[in-house]
Amino acid sequence: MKMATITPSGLILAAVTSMALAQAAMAQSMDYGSLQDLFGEPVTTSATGKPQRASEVPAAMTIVTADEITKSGARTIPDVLNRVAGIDVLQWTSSNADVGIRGYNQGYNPRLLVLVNGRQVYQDFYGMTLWSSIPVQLSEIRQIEVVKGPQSALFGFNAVSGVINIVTYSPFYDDVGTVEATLGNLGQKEFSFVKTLKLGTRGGIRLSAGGWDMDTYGTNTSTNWAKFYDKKSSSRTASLDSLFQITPDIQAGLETTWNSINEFGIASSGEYVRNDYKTYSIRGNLKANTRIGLLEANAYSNNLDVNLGSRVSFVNTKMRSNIVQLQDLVKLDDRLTTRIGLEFRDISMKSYPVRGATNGYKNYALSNMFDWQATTDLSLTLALRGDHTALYRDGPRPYPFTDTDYERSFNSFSYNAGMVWRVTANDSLLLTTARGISSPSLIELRNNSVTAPSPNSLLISGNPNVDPSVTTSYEIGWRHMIDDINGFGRLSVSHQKTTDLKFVNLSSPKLINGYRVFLLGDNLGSTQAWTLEAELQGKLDAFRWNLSWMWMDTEDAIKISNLLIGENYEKSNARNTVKANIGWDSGPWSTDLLLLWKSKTYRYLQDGSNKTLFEVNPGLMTQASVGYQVTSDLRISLSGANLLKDETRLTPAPKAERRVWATVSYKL
Amino acid sequence: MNKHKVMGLIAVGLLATLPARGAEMDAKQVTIAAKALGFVSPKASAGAKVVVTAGAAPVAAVQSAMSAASVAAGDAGSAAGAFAVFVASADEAKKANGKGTVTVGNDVACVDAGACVIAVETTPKVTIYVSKAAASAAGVDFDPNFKMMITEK
Repeated sequence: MKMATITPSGLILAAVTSMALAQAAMAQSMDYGSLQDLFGEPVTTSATGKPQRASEVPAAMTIVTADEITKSGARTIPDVLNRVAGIDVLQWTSSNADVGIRGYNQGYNPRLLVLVNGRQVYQDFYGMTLWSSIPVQLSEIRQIEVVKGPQSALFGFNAVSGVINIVTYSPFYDDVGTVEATLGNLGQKEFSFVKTLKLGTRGGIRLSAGGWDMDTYGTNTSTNWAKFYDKKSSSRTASLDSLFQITPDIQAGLETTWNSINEFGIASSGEYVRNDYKTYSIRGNLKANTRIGLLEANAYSNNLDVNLGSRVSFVNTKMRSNIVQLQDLVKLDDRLTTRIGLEFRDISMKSYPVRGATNGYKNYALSNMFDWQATTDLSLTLALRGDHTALYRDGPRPYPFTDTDYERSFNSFSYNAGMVWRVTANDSLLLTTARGISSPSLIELRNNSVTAPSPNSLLISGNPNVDPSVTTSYEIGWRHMIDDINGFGRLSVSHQKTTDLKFVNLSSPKLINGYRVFLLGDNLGSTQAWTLEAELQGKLDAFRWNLSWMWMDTEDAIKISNLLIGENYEKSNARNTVKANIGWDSGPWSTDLLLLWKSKTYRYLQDGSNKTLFEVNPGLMTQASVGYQVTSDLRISLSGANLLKDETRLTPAPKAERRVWATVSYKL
Repeated sequence: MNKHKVMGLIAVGLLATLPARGAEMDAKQVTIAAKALGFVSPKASAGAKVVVTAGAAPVAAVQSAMSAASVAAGDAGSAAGAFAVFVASADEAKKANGKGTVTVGNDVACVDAGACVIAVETTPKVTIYVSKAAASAAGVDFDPNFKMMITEK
């Protein structure tokens, strides 16, 4: 009898063979496409962290689908978001924009958490989002999820006015490929490429790259800021995402991205700035289906190189956000699901213009979410999160402060609670309350001193003693499905109050340890607002349409003159915003028209040595697109924005010119 | 008691002793059930055997929804080795329960009874029910994300 012998190489071959022959495993990552196909509606994890159907989330949420993005003709994410009820877009230039949810939008808006597949893409530098730097091509987006209201307990940092989660096609589950080219007036030239590739049966990658060149709006050459104003803007982006089935119960992913942008924008101080940023990131992700739940570990590093020029300063620095997140999602019984999360953040920035000091903070957070399906018609959600933040600074004494000031630590607490009651088969009532935390950004905290200043010097510094802003909100919403229009009606009333508002205070110096200091982070009051949102959406035959109205009443209680801080929310929050979107699809044709109207607003602009309050009254604004599907793979479209006038004042920045562009899209 | 009343009582008595049978699944229910089966682990291999018992669902609809499977009409007793069996009653499901066989009921009551692994409703909206006991007995599990979005019993 001959005995079989097992060699090391044989063992490896056997292991590889058994892996190859193994049945496909359970998916730890969510297969959005298959679940959407099953339930007949988009699915999401952005409301509670738990997979849910869009119609069941305990939050005011809108999901913009890939089909809607394509038909809109939009070429930027802010243009896509501008269609959503409750969203405000400040389009400073043809490429630079800030996005706000339920008002309080401003240059470098620091109140919004923007994610790409769960990775933050807002910058801890100012807490702002550089929309042009987001390393995503529109053609690789499966859906954009917009959650309105504070979500700090569920998502942590910056989720003060809401969360925008951009979900791309999966490198593992989806098979997509697109190459697109766009040409337009204002020198618009754009190209993008997206392709998923399967690596056997156990892995896949998604490659994407793109770039654009565009002239910015306006021909204004005011001498005060002309040197910072360059008509040319550009962006270059590349990313690689991957997902692998390691064992039947474990998936691992690796993602890396790179972007370079150069564009003209408006800073939080209301000043013109020339943005020159480079971002790069790397992320590893591990998901495991275990006896104790769906475990997920997520670690990433976001890096930002800054070259930012304004009238008064030039910022040249490097910033890094290292983040580790662990979570366990467990279905405790048929009705109760919980998610326990741990998060560690190490955020740091180099001093400038002279290196030699590093400012930063470490943050430790623990969160817990419970989602309870109390009855068939009633579900309740409660999420709690505690953060411990410890500042640090390496380098010489941080004049005018002392090292002790930068050894400060503080705790913050946030919550989200929601109830969805399905009153009838067609009616649901939503009640939510939340406490959101806006932690100080690095700019608000940092100190660049590397040498002792002269006595009695006038200094500019971040403030280690600045406190987080706290936003508390309450909302009641009602949604009614209307079969006759194949759509729904929605009405919501919400109230938000923000205390310890943080501002750049470059106008009223404080005396600190014998020095007069302008503080880049100062708590200077509070603000509150009532918001009413009404929305009606339907689809009849070839027509699809959405009509929304948002009314807002704002009351500020700010301790110093609005002129000194450059913000006046009572005047900059539009009292009324009306959006009407209608589309018509027939055979290979699709058309889309967005009409948008906002009440008159006022916004400060730092133009040269004066800060002036600008009236912004754009009247009726439009975006439109006509698309034609030439073959199943080839689509052409002609789109435009600001079509009604040659020039439209959208913000205090130079007026927006009429834009028209044509796009050719080919599926690979 | 006249003859008709006697016959009526006998008929009622006979009906009461018969196992409960739901209405045959319609094409939409079959489509949803087939999609839900895509979240079963281990997954069906190409050409997997699927049996449809009388009154459970239209065989053609099942074949259309599961084009990669080998679908045939049969009885629950002939389901050995099948990936899935569409059944019309809890009793049939109990006969079909075997290692790796997913029993698809045409009525949620079958899942309530712990006999069927899965049943679906499509009105007023898509709802999927899974019996944990039946799934465990069958030796099958579902995608963890899918399980968060369904009703487990």
